[in-house]
Order: sequence, then structure tokens, then C-alpha cells
Amino acid sequence: VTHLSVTHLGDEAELYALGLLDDAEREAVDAHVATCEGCARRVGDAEDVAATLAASIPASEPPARLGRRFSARAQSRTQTFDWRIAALSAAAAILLAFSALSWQRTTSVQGRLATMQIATQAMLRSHFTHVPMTLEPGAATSAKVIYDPKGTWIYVVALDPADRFDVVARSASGERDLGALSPSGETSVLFAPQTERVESVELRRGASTVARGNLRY
Amino acid sequence: VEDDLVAAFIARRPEALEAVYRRFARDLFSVARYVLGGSETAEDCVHDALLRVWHSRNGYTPARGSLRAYLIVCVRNEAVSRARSEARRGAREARAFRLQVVTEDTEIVDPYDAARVRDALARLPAEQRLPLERAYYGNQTHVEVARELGLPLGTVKSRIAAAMRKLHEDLVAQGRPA
Repeated sequence: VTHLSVTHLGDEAELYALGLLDDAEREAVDAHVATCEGCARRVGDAEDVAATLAASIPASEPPARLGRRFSARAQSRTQTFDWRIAALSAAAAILLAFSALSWQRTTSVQGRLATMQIATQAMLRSHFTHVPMTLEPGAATSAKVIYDPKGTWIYVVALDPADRFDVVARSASGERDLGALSPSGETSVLFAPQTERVESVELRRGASTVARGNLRY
Repeated sequence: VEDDLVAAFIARRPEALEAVYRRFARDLFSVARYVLGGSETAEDCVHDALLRVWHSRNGYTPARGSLRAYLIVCVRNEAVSRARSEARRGAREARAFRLQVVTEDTEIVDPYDAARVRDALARLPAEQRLPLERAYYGNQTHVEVARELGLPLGTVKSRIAAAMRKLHEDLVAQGRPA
């Protein structure tokens, strides 16, 4: 076994498949088999026999948590390859916080939760970006637009607004009134599905514009 | 589907490890449980063995044949190593040979292949069959087998290896590779 890089396998092929080699001997077999097709076939034949011997041992059902260990590993690998998952998780957490506040403070709880669920699903199903809104003097709020780069939705958030704000979106087809921000705890929010890319968003109090955001794609 | 799974596994596609586990979970866990006894130690064994295979530079190649057989052997080898390590630390009793009693009520891994291998084992000369059964079903080392059967170590190794080769010929001759 010590010179397997130049010598083909003898009985080691069968002893390997039966677990009768020590760790170092096994590694030597693996290294040789990786470069020698003939010995790979021979070890493979012995492995087939060993696997058939296993047919007559008592069956044991694996615990579900073992499967979950592999699932969790696969998911964590996906996350390391996609930084956006972290941002989406943060967005979901923010939305859940909104929902909790809505539950305490609003009268139309079901409607608001439904809106939140739609928003959460939209955000989790797509990537998103955001821009801060530029405030007019005396706006008494700060606001952001979170949006889908593909243009399928926008989500407008204003912090602690002093007044009722309406949201107006401008896109290639013109200007559209999307409705008022809804109070949600310390914030007011509006989720609005779109059929075309919104180029800019304004918050209006009556006829005056108090904040504006230009979306980039 | 099986070919796709093997190709994904060889390519180290991230989802392939879990998919392979789920495909062969019962076989792999049964083998580990048979050698180690406890469910938790068997669970860790299967998990660690698959990760070891996944990260190995000299892992599975198609020339080796069946991925399932390869993984069963990897898990069993890992289990055997752990059992021997525990035995060295005194954490496990020295094994006396015992064939586990399998009654009609015992669910086994694969009744069809079990019948094939039982018939094939019965056709082996006793001098080959006995050391092989002790090594595989008794989880004994060749040193233990040699001591208990009163045979030289080299003789035990060569008889076990010859038994495996003869079993392979027999199983292939039955019409389906193992």
C-alpha cells in the first residue's frame, strides 16, 4: 500500500471496501484510484459487493434533523453567494416591525397586514434597491423609496410625518396619484405595484411637494 | 435522474449534497447505525462522512461505478474508524463476534438483494465465508478475525479478498451487477 502511486492494488481493493484498512492505507488507495481507472473499477466492484452485503442489515430510518443539517448547510452556502439575501432579510424584519406596530395602533388591521404580506412577498421574490427622498424646507419628515429595479413595485416609507402625505409617481406615461401614506407606528408607508418603471416619486401635502426622490435603474 | 444527480454531485453543485443525502439517506443511516449502535453517533457519522467525501480531492469518480455503493462504503468506513477509536479509548466494549438476529419481523435494507447475497454467501467455501461474515456483519478487524479463527493474518486477508471477488462474479452472473 505504501507505493500505490506506482503499484496497482492487490487485495487492498477488497479490504478497502470492507473497512479493513486503517486511515492512512485508505487515503493511499483513494489517491491511487483517482488516477488509475483499472484500480478504480476494481475498487468499485468491491464496493458494489459491500453495498449488497449491507442489504441484509436491519433498516433504520434517519432522523429528520439529519436532513435539516444538510438543508441548513445548502441554504447557508446560497447566502454566502448572494449578498442580496441579507438585505432582503433586513427588509423583511422592517416590514414585520411595521406589522407589529400596525397591530397595536390601527383600526384596519387586517387590511394593513394584507398589504404588508403583499409587500413582503414582493420584496422577497425580487431584488430591490432604495433611494432617499430629498426634502423641501419644513417637510418635518424623512423618507425613502424602496423599489424593484425591474419596476414592478415601489414602497415608500416616511418617518414620523407631521401631516397626511399623498404619493405621486412620475413615469414615462405621465404622473399618477398613488394615494396617501398610511400611518404605521412611527412611520407611514405605501406599497404600490407598478406596470412600468417609476422615474420619480413625490410626497405632497395638499398641492405642495414636500419630498422628492429620483429612482435609478 | 440518477445520472443528473451523479453529475451534479461530481460538479459540486451546492444543492447536490443534500439531494444525494436524501436519495440514499436510509441506506447510509442504516449502515452507520449497524456499526455504531447509537442513533446520535450514527447521525454525526453520516453527516461527517458525506462532508468528507464532498471536500475530498480524491473522491468519487465515475470509473468507480455506483455512487450509492461508494457512499455506503465511505459511511461504513467512517463508522468503523469511529468504533475502533472508541474501543481504543475504552469507550466501547471489545466486540465478540455476533451475527445480529434478523427475524421475519425485522425490516431490512433491501430484501431482494439480501436474498441474492444470502444465496451467494452460501455458495462460498466455509473457509472464505466465515472470515468475511465476521469482518462485515461482525464488524471485526482482520486481526480479530485471525485471532478468533486461529489463522495467520495474511491468510485471513487473502481469504476475505478472494471471497469478495467470488461474490462479485456470482452476483454479476445472477444477471444484475450488485
